[in-house]
Amino acid sequence: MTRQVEAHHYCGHQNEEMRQCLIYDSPEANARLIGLEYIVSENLFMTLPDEEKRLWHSHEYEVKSGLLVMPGIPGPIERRDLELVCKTYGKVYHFWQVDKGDSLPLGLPQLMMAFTRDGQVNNELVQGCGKRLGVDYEKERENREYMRGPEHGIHPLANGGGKGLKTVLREVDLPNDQPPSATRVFV
Amino acid sequence: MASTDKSPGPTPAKGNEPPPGKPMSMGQHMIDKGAMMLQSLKPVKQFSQHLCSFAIYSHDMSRQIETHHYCTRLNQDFLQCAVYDSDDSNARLLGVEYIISDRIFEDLPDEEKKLWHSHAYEVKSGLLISPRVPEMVAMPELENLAKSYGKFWCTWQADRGDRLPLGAPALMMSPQAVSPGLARPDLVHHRDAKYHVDSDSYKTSRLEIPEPEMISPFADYWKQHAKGFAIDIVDTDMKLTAPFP
Repeated sequence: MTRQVEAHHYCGHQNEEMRQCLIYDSPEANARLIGLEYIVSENLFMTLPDEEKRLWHSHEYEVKSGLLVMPGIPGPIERRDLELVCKTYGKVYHFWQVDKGDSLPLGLPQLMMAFTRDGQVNNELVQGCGKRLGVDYEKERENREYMRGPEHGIHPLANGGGKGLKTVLREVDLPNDQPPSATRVFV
Repeated sequence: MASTDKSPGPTPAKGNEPPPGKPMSMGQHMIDKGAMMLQSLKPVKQFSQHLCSFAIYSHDMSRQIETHHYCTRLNQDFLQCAVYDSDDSNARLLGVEYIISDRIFEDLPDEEKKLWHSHAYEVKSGLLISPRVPEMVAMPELENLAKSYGKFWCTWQADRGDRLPLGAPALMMSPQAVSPGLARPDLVHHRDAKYHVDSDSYKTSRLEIPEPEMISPFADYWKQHAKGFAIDIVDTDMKLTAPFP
């Protein structure tokens, strides 16, 4: 939880209930593509196998706390979308650990989680963002108080089921009928 | 727990159809249109090229997919690409590929090199195309790409029938001149027909393109080691600064 990043999502809809997003480390033209997110409605989330559910995180806190903003969109319109996002679940992989100072996308994909309650987010990170984007997080929290999270409550298996998750690399034997051919063709 | 090479548990979301879910509502369309007008969306406006090629799952090289890369060049040595399964507006976002010059690649630690693949064969064999761009116009970029290396994580295994992105990311490899890296002819024909091209004919026009003098034995790891890679997602202790969740 000590490693947190500001993430800029650029999202498109596959349909009303599913979005796919590219994640950048800034909203500028030279932004680095650091990861991606898939977002599904509560209904779609419920159809996922149990072990898959753990890889997804809830959005209720992120939305209601004001942490998640849609820069440049007037509040009333923003809230119409956020009311929906509040009930969704997301699955995020980051491939480029820019917070570690990596100048290249090294290592393995990282499964990311979202904030789920007060006290988790690094305040410096938030203040910095708020200043840059002109966001008053306290005000946003008030404006969004009316919003409701998932109809059935946040699923207990979501958010890692409460445990940390990490990715590990494993070498796999390629099947015997697929050895690299002894005769090499030079292009 | 979740692994690249484990088939996901029973789920209704299986098949070749588009992802499950209701069609977009008018309200959602309005919100999106509004956002497109009001927001700058700079990072995603930087896509400067569309490349179409093929990729192979490193943990199961019998599985190959057609890929559509939308690339942004950050500097002379680096491209970042959003990878889709088609060039349609409803294309699925399959993953991300990073492309670096051989100059940058050489400086990577060996353990990191294993996750990367070379592009020389893909380019010179005509498998990689820049759809609807005349060869002459595409040539400078093809020359760049022929000497580059890529790292491609696929997060949606749509080819195995996943209608939603399930499981752990898969490391992808590139087509090569030897089995099991040879591109499947049926996939190539299907792609060629769609774009009215003949991949084979590019072999001649691309003959002179220079490639790296030596491709590191760690890149295209399966070639020298007959091994692929899978990712497992496993439990770990989360370092906490507050209760979770």
